Formats: sequence, structure tokens, C-alpha cells
Amino acid sequence: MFPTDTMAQGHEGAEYGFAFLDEDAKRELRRSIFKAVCIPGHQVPYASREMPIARGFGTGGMQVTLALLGPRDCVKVIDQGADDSVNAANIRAFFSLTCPGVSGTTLTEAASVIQTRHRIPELPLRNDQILVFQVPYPDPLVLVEPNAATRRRMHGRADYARLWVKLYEDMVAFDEITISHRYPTRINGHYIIDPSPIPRYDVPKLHQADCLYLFGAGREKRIYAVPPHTDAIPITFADVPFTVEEFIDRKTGKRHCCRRCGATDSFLDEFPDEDGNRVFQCSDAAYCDSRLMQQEAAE
Amino acid sequence: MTPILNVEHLTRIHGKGCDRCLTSTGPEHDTNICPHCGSVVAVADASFQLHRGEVLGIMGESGSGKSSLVKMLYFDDQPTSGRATYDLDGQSHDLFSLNEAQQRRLRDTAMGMVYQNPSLGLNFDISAGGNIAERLLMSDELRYGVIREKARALLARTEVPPARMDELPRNFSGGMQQRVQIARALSTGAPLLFLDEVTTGLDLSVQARILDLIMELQEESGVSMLVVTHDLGVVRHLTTRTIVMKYGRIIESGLTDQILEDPQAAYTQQLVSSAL
Amino acid sequence: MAYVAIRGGEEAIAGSARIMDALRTMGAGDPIELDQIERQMPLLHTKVMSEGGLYHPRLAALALKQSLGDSLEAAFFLRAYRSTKPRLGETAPHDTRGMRVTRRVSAAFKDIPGGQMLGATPDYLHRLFRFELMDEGAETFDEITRDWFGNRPEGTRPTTFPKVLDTLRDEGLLPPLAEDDTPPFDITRTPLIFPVPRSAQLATMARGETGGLLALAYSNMRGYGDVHPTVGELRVGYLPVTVPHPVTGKPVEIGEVQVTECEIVAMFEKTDEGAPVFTLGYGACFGHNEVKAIAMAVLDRAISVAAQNGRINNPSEDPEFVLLHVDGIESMGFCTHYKMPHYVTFQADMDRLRAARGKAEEPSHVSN
Repeated sequence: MFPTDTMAQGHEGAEYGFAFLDEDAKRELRRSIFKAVCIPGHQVPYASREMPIARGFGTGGMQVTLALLGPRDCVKVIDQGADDSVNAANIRAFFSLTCPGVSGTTLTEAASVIQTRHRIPELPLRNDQILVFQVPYPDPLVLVEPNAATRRRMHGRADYARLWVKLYEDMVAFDEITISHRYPTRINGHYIIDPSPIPRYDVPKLHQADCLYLFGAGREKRIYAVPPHTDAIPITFADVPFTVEEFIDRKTGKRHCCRRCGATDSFLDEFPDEDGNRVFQCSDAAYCDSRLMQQEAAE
Repeated sequence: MTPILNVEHLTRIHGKGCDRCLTSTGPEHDTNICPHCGSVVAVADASFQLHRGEVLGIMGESGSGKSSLVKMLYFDDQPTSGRATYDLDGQSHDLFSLNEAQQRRLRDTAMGMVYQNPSLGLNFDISAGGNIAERLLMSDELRYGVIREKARALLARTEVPPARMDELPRNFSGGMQQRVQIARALSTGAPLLFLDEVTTGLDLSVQARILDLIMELQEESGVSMLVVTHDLGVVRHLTTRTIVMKYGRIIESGLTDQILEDPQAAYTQQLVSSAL
Repeated sequence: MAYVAIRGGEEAIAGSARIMDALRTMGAGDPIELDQIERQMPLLHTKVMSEGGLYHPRLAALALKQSLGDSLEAAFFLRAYRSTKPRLGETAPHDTRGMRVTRRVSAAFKDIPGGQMLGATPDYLHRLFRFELMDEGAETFDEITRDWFGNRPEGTRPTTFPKVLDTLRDEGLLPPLAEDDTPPFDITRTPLIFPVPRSAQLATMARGETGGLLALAYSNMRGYGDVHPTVGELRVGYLPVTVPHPVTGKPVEIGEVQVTECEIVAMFEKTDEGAPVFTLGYGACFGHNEVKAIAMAVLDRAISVAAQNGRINNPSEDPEFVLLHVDGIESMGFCTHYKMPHYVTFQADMDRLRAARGKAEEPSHVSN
């Protein structure tokens, strides 16, 4: 899928090298990634480089991915669950331009590295796969404490009472925990992470997974990790269970299903169709497509 | 019986400090600013004990070092030298040799503080109940129902109307804010409470009710208290024993009745007579 | 759902790139030459190098051309390009006393050693349109140039000058310059973890975005801060750059960079040592950008003095607040990213809102 002959030509003959970043930068990134894996959930500062896409578009995830990729890798890029949304397409085009030899895929099961924004694929990932998240806000404590130096101290001593107070205030006001995404999640019993803006639906997938999860924040210059087989528990009260989106139709009491593949076990996008009706469709495009293909094959 | 709190030679100097700070300041020099290096000697060589179930008063004018003393014991500030031990359930904690996490743990679970300024002791951006919840959460109570019940009961006990539990304390009167602070300080059942000028700035009638409340709570729970005040009325009302401070030094200590009736130090005599 | 659920985002992006290119060329006459950008818009051009943190005049001109004149985007090109370059060496600290000065003023003293030198500045020009510039030819350019060279002031003037602040320092009114051999904090290799040293503070602001620095500095000047600063010296000129010779280690001049430098002096503070001294702020950046250098100096002083006093009273005195918000590439990027699809998070938001509304509608619901 990726052309191997397109090396980007820079100005004055300066070619951009493999995986864009200079080798020292990649080495530093790998060191930070190792550290992040060794201290699950700890935000490791790193010298985030400027990338040719804007801050906020996934420069952190991109740097992590570029530091990981080698010519034998197969990469998949998704945004909002889909491979062909504009940002995913753009990042994939960048990888194809700067990483000759690396192959691309839309199949979750075929990828060795998946870069994602806002979703975890529906298909469980294996231990030979790495999921790289794009992270806008790495620190969950930013909700309750603006000062970065204070937040670092709070993380060090696992001083998270104020996050729970936020949940308490939520319960008082709404009788519900209203955090919809970026749900604070405790890793390996100590650090609480911002798992990036994934919906609650995806949070349980972090817990005791087979794959490695890496989180890269470009603008805020932090890398953190949830290694395989590590506890990842969304914070809540002992008597208030953590819940995920259920997509229940309030009229019928039944779960909405995907209008394309009929799935009732996936995170759904909801949008108005041309006639103004609410319709639902799998957010994970690869999952939806593979289900459709299976259905066609069965017929 | 071992005292709950044993303070030995506690000293706090703000500034660079020099060899002559301690010998050049104090009541006899009529200053707490070292003439040689300009450092401020907030507390010098203070030693005292607080016994279990006792209410000890620390009296003095502003700048006498009484608040500095309590701040150090509550880990809001670090001493320049000296030590203090806190005896908790038969185990002795050397306060200033604990690491930061241990200090926090002790402070969150086994100490309570009521500040003169409620904005120091309370988070005005979260509800009255949330302020109490925070303390309970710090001591690892993670059951929402239990937190809710405890907060309600504590606020009721400190005479905050339960209907106001979910309001922000910034909308409360000064007296009510102090009641919330007291409820928060008591929430973990800590055996040691620090009260720093808790009634200063309140109306007289409100003052009297808060002092009554503190007395009742003390009698119910047997909590040990260190009460910092410049107000003789507070000392008379709450404490059994009192120490008097001036320019960072303890200049007199004894039974409160005795100090009020028959003060020994000239300064104490002045304090007592000026209040009458 | 039009743009978010596009099946085939790649085509859409390619289309968008084609429109951008058409916008740049359609009915635009002759292609603008890089030299023209560099020479005819030097203030814009050097601002891009300053905010991009890379002194590369030719690429800065290309960046402006390619980004259709957007200075933030152009600076971004330079930054991204820089990420691909290894570090080959480091220069020793440079003393700006060695600058070939083209402009230099002091607001503190009427006369200064070496004299005031107004140089090129729009400060005292009336902002009245010269409508004849709407239709200028190459011959006008020649004429102006000939006229300038023909009527240059007689005699030779020095091109390097002593520092105005040295005078104050000699009198003890400024804190003495501390010898400090600590290698400067490298913001391109180390993230800012607060507290950060002053060198990190200066480096961050040196490539900060002019408007961002100005807004924060202005807040400090007009009341969310304490004092009226005095410009001790502002100088613009060319600083010869030397690097150690790879074999002999001796400094070798490899070129020069245009620099604007500003030193401000403000109300005095007590010191531990006793006698009060003025407080100082320092600003410097690539190119000719006086507003940026002054704003930076004001913020440098505000942050340093607050740190010394251990008390932050205003946002402009808070190193975190200032340093984490003045970078144009970061702030512009993050602002732009809100245009990207956010429909998963919005779906999650709707779920929570519906749940909360559902509870609120239940008649039996009593807040517990």
C-alpha cells in the first residue's frame, strides 16, 4: 500500500530521512518509551519535536509511532475509529511518504502498530501489537490543579482525593458521574492517567490487555504507557459502579444496532440522516467492514 | 502517661540566620528581628507538652510566634531546628524526620486544623459536603453512601443546616464557614486538633456559640486541642492550661486560672490587665 | 456529517491542497521571488525566523511563500524542518557588545557613550498612506538607493558600542553580573519541568510568538503588574557568529545573524546584601522585532522579580503561565485542532447528558 520509492524531497536537496525525525530524537523517544513502560502510568517528560502537522493533530502519537517503526512494520492509523477520516488519512500519507518499506493496512489484525485518536479498536489486540494514542491532555489532575509543579508532587504521592471530590460533586449535582471521555484511570494501583479522549466504552479494554498501550502527548510533551497484563481501573466509588455507553433505545428498551452491519456489540456513532432520523453506525470502520464481508461470504 | 504531643526546642528563623539570631532577639531585646542579619526569629527554642484529652492555650499578640508554632506542627511550615513527637495509638512519630508522604498521611488522617481564615481550610469552589468528603477520601473512605451520611451527620453536629450541605461555603456567613471547617477537621476522628484564632473576626454572639460547640465536641470525643489565640476570653472559656508567647519565646506557662488570676511575667500582667 | 464521515478523506485532502495552490497562483501575476520576500518584507521575514527558532533566511522566505503569508504557519515550517536536523555543534555564549549596530536607543539617558542612533524605525513616521507606492517601478527603487548612498553622512562612525547598562553597573545601581558557567537550558532537547532556570525562560520567550508575548507583557505594564519599565538600551544589528574550529578549537566566524536586544531597568528592590539595586529584564530575538524584545524583557523581569520575592501576584509573573502559553506553534496548533472530528467524544458527552437528564426526570428521584 505504501509506495517505497517516494522519498520526500526537501529544499536545497536536503532529503528528509527515514521516519522524518533525526536519529538522536528517535533514540530519546525510545528511552522515554522504555521508562514509561517500566513505570506504568507515570508521565515521562520528553523533548517533543515539532512535526509537520499542527500541535493537537497527533504530533505526540506520531513521534511515538515514528520512533517504533522499522521497515518490517505494518501500520494502521485511525481517527474516531475510522481509517479514512481526514486526520487519519493525512497521518497515514505522512508515514507513507517518510517511512519507505513500512506497509500500511486498514485491518486491525494485520497491523503491528496502530496509531489512534479517540478509540480503541473493537477487535482485541494481541501481544505482538502496539496501540499508540494521540493525547491532547496527559494529566488528569489538570481538572483540579492548574499548577504543573504541584501536580507532579500530587502524582508522586498518589494524592488523588481531589479527583474523587470531583466525582462526589458530580454525584451530588447529577446523581451520575458525568465524565464522558478522558475517564481518569488508575494504573497498577498507583498513578492515575488520562487515557486520552476515548469514550467510557473503551476504558475497560485497557485492563489486563495482551497488547502494549503507549500514549504520546506532543504539545504537552509527555509519554506514558499501560503495559500488557497491567491493572487499569477507572476511578469510582465502591458503591457507584463504573458504567459504559449502552446505546439503549429508550422507546424499545433494546440496544441500537449498526445500520450497516447490524452489530450490537460495538461503539456506535449517532447522527441524523438526510430525513432527520437518528441513525447508528459502527465507529470502528474496519470492524464494520469485516463483519459485512463475513456476512457476504456466508450468503 | 506519655503526652500526645511533645515539643522540644522548636525554632523557626525566616531569612539567612546567623550565630547571634537567638541571643540578639526576644522579649529582653524587644524585637524578633536579628539586628545582625535581619532575619526574623518567629519561634525560638519552644518546648512544651500536650496531654491526652487536654486543651492547651497558646496566647500572645500577633507576631509572637504562636501561629508559626502550630503551622510547623501541622506541616504547613518547616522548623529551622528542634523536634516534636506525636504519640498515636502507642506509636511515637518523630514529626520532622518523617518523609513528605508520611507527614501528609499523618496530617490527613490523624490531625485536624481550623484556620482563622476559612479560605485556607476550605475549598470554596466545592460544596460544604464536598469539603468534608475530601478529608474522608484522603483517609481512603471510598463508599459514596457512607461519605454522604458522615458528612451529613458531621454538619448536623456542628449545627450547619443539612439543607445547605450541597451549597458552596463561599455563600455562607463567617460563623457558618467556621462550623464547616470544624466539621471537616473532626471528620476523620483525629485525636489531635489545632485551632488558630477560630473566633477572631466573628460577632460576639456567634463567637460564644462556636466556643460552646467546641467545648461540647471536646467533651464528647476527648480530642486533644492546641488553641492559638490572642483573646483572653477564648483562653478562659476553652483551656485548662496556657502558655504565653512573646517575640517567639514562651515566657510563661501554667494552669489557665492561675495565669489569668496571678500572672507572673510583666508582659502577661499587661495582657491580662488590658483585657479587663 | 459531511466532512467527518467522509469515506475517502485522502481525496478530500488532496483536493484541499490543490485549492490552496490555486489560491496562491490564480490571477496573481508573476511568481513572487524569495529575494523579494526577504528584502521587501524584512520585518515579517525575520519575525518568521525568530518565532520559528531557526535562522535560515532562504527557507523563511520559502515558508512565507508556501504558507500564503501566514507568519504562524511559516514559522511552523521552520520548526518542523528543524526537527529533522541533528545537532552538529554548539557556539560559545556571544557578547552583544560585538554587534554591528544599525540602531540603538536608550530611554534612560539623554546622552550615552557612543551616542543615540535612531537608525531604521517607523516610530516617528506618520502613518499616512503614500499613495504613490501603489504604483512603484524598479527605477524608483534604484533612485531611492542611489539617493541613500549619495547622501550618506560624512565621516565614519563606529559600528560597535559599549552597553548603556555598564554605566549603571559601574555605579553599583545594578546587581553585578554573576559569573555563571552552567550550560544554558536547551529547550529543544529538554521539556520544561517547573521550576526552570532563567536560561529556559529566556530561550522560550526568544522563540515565542510576538502577539502572545505582547499581550502578557502589556497586562503587566498596564496594571496587572507593578512598574513602569525604562528601556535602558534597545539595539538592533548584526551579531557575528563564531564556532570553535574543529581542530584548533579557536573561534571562527561563520556569518552573522540579525538580532534585536532590549534591556529594561525598573524599580529597585532590597537585596540580601543590603543596598537596594534596580531590577533588570532582558529580551533578545532574531531579526528586527522591537516589540517582541521589549515585551520579552518586561516578562523576564516580572517573572524573575516574583521568583525572588517568592510571591506571584499576576499571570505575567507566573513562569508556568507565561512560558507555556507564548509559543505560537503550540497555541496555533491546538486552536486549529478543534476543527478536527470529535464525534466519539461528543457521542460520549451526549450519553452522559442523557443519563443525567434521565435521572433528573425520574419523579421518584430524590437527591441523596
